[in-house]
Amino acid sequence: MLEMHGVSRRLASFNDIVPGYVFSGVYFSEKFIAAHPDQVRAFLRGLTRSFEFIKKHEAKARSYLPKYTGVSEDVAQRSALRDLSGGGRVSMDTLNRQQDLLLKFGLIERKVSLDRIIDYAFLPK
Amino acid sequence: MVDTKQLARYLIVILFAAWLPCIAFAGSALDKPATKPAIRLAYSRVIDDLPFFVGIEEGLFEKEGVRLELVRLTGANNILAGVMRDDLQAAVISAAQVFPAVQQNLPIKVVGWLGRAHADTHCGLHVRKDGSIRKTSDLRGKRIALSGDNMTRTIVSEALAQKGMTTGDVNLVMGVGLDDPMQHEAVLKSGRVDVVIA
Repeated sequence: MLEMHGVSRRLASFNDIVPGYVFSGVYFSEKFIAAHPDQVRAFLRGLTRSFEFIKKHEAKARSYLPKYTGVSEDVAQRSALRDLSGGGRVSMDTLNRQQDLLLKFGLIERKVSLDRIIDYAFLPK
Repeated sequence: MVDTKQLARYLIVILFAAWLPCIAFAGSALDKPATKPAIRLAYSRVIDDLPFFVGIEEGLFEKEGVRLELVRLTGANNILAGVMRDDLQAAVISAAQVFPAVQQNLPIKVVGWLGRAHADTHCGLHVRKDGSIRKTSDLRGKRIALSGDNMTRTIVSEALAQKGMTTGDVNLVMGVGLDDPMQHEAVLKSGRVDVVIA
């Protein structure tokens, strides 16, 4: 948005620095998942359908951005979107490479296994 | 002597009167659609949340059997507390927050990711358009605004490391959040900082 407003120039993107950088994910509490696994599955079916819609009908998808984010229609149509091709999944190798960076810069004390916290079992096959 | 025919007529009337409310109730129950369970999800009002907006507007969550309700809430700790209390059912977590979450043994599960950076990604280190900084190696001694979260610290640290520098070679200015584009624009234009992560 800063570039579109003529304020800034991009020096280096996240992808320039860490190719394929994973930004964010969705979490539920373990308690909710245990009590309502079908709701979690339903949510993720809806979410992955949304990924497909964005890929197939990008301009229409972007047209919803002003309502929810307050950006202008122009910014909405020109902003970069995320690469949604993974369907919600990212390999543990990719995530561990990002973990290695946090470890390298002392932002976490020790490396941890992600097996306990990441669970793709509720994503559509 | 009981008139059996009259008695039978009374019984029929009484039975019919008893059934009427049941039929009316059943009819109204059939007319009213069952309310789908709501997933209240904390969101940040950023472009990255587009899949949620699309899913709501196109009815994609409802078609699958749930209603998505977006709740604007800031602060990772506030959001986590909301999820633990079941005030919220789901939330977005940055990848950089996942690793400390494992260390803290938080009772949550990340069930899917919201996409990755790619060659056309615009998010990154931004400098004033008319400024003198032309490449990452020009950042020595410059002021870089950071929100303080692990994601921005990682990106800045790695960008500097790739050019043989550390965060000790720049001036980090803390407190500029990633989800506030207007604040980015203001601090960059004012000259208070030389770089924002946006």
